[in-house]
Amino acid sequence: MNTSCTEILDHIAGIECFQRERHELYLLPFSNLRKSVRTIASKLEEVSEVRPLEEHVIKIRNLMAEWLSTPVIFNNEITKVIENLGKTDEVRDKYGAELSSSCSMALAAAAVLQTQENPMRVLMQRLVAEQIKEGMRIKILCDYRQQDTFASAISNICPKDRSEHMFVTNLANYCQSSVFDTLIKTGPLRTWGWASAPEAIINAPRFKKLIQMVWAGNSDEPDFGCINLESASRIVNDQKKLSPENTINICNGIIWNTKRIESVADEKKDELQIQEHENELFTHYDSASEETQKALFVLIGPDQGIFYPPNSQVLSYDTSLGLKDPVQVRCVSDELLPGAYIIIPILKDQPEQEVLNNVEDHTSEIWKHQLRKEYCASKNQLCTILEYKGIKLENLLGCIERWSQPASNVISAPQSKEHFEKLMIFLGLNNEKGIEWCKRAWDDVRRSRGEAIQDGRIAHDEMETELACVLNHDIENLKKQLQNNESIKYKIPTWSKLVGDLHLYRITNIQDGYRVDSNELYKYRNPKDIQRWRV
Amino acid sequence: MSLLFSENKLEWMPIPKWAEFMIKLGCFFSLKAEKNKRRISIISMPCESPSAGLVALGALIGDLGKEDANDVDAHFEKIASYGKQYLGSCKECTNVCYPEIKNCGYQKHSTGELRSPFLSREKVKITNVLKDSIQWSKKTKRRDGEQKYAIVTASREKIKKYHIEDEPPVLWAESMKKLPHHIYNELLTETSFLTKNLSMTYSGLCFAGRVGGEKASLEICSSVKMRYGHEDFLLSEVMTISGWRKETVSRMSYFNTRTMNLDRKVGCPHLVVADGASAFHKAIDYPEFRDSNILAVIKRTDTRTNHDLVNLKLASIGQWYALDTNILEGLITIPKGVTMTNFLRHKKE
Repeated sequence: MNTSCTEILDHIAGIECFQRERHELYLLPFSNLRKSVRTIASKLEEVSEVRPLEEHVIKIRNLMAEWLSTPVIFNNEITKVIENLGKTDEVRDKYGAELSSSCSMALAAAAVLQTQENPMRVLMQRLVAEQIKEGMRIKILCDYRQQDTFASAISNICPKDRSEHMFVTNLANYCQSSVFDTLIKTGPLRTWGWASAPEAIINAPRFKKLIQMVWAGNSDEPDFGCINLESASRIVNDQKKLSPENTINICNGIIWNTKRIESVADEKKDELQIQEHENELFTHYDSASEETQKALFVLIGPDQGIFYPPNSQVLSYDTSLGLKDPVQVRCVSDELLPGAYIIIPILKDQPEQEVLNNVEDHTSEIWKHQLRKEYCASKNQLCTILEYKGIKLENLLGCIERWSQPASNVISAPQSKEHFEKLMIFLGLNNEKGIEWCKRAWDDVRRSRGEAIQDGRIAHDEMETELACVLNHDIENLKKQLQNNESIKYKIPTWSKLVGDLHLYRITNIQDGYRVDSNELYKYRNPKDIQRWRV
Repeated sequence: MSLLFSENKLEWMPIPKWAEFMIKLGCFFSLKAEKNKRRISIISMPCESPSAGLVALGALIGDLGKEDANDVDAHFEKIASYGKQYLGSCKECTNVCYPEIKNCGYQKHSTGELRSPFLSREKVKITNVLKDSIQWSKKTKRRDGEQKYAIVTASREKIKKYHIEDEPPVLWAESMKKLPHHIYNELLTETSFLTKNLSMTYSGLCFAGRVGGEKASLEICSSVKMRYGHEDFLLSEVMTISGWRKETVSRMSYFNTRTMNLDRKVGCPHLVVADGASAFHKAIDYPEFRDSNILAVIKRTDTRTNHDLVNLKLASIGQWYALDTNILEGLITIPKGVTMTNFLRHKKE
């Protein structure tokens, strides 16, 4: 914690009303391009029977989102992607006339744009220059991958070595920064996807003024920054419109005065047809899918990263907290920070573990013996009776076969208690001591299942604990190896009972805002290939 | 002599308004606890802060004034149940202790061992639990060098000098190191407290630490220092959590939200102070706290995922609890940048 709570709260208390300038940009060719790309994306969605996530659609979508949210130099990237769809005739035959004409329109608009300087860059240069001239301490909020684009946009005002301290690329970065004057942000205020920003910039401002540059029609997420806690308690975050250009918002007790400024007035502004919530078109493909789950992308080096579920625990090395044992298992969303190292074990096969057969299965021996007897006497009849008794399973015969096998580590038995009890009644095993025997037998089954889970859990926990122990013990050697290295391969010392190597990677960034298929998790992925999972 | 405050090793200053608010709020919640009502409150902060620790400290000071705020009265029953668990279950158990998997019904392993602050080297093992006494065997050495075992029977009164081996002593002798009462006095001058409580352990207040583990909680609570005269105190010390401050009674139990373990056997604490969104989420679902008032301090700079978790929980709480917007009206002013949400439910008798 670099900044004290007192400093932050004094800062908030000292400012009556936080200022937000929303500069809206207008440019006809860009508007035409956006409109055409929208049509291309929706038409491809219509004509495609499967999800419209073909490679070129993803590329178009990402490029468009990038152009909308960063001060890029308009280049021929988008032209190339649209051309990849095919020649005009082919596109018409394949996807229809409307899509073909949209492609032509997009290509024409892109060609015009390439001859112009991006007005967002021009505006950014002007605003940054003004702020610096006024002696303001400024920070620029951007995605870490766009840092170079932003640096190039202001390079003539601010040399790169000076500007690199200005960037805030994630929530952790923001939390570490002390109080400053102005935050500059491009693109809409959104929690997810491209141009996403930490909500803390609105509900916990460490600055006085927020300068936002957006393309007209790019609306902010409603209630951005007003954490749901407030809505849950129905303490309504107030909004008051003073004029079309001026709005007062009260969010978490913090007052924001938003001023809308039309910064670059296009001569043909009246011709523009802006469609609000444009970004929603680009987000609903992935985020709506039920097969995907929330994930964090932990970036390790410039060209690889790993997706983790937000609450997963990973072995990591972090010296920033000054803990005695810097190697610990940490929660990805709560405890892992950029600058720490994640540890990936590549262990060699261990001698086979002694097969556990420690189930105290006195009860299971009895009922399994009885079941085997019935099973051997008549399989099919047994099946029919059990079905009649209420054990209705798809593969009942297979199940009976499995249940009658002697218990190993886990006692194989019906999954539900109800089925188990019915089976016991059928086998006549609930007569003598009544329900109590049945309950004991069921407890044995449950315990055996628990123990199996426990064995697996313990084995994994033990491995991680052992590795943490080894590394904390050998910490000086580890520090020496890590010196100025982004990644190392560490050989587990011979005195440890584990055999193999550990790969340590320095975390450069942790990004929120992805939904991925479960088979994408825990694998090395190139950041260039993961854009499809952004929401 | 006034009290000074320092955060993150920065310069000394008078207690800032926000810290004062947190301490007063804790005390207010402690005094406001009513048996037929349950409160769930969330305080949101604009940054990382040791606020939860300060709230817990305020509640601790509030509890010091309560006549029945000590573990002494129920101590015999606690030791007896601990002994019965050991003799009846844990003594013979060969499993690695995962009570939730073993389904034995217990929360924590019992070794049957007791210690005493009055006899620091002595460690005894319970051999029998009677109606009004506890028995253990004691190794003695006769003059001729032969070792013998004697059965010791401890009455209700005597057992107060013993405590469960990994828990804080329930009673502290008058002559031994006391809690820093002058600090408590200075922090909340208008609150009176009972001197006898300074030498008695209490488990009716619980601090649910950070999900990062006990070290993370200790670290943040150690970032605040208070100076009174020539003496400096860390917030983590004056909170009297067992293990954070050695050789004294403990007026607050600790719930490790990372391992989901309590540092001692507690009944149902009257107040649980949770540090962080994840800690709140874990504490509110913990069976031991189902009737406790819960006060959580979260930070708005937390991840969206964690906020969603809190929101989800509050949405379900909102169905059974009423909003209590006037709880602090006219009593304490909430500092700008800090927000508070309160829910209240009337319990059925």
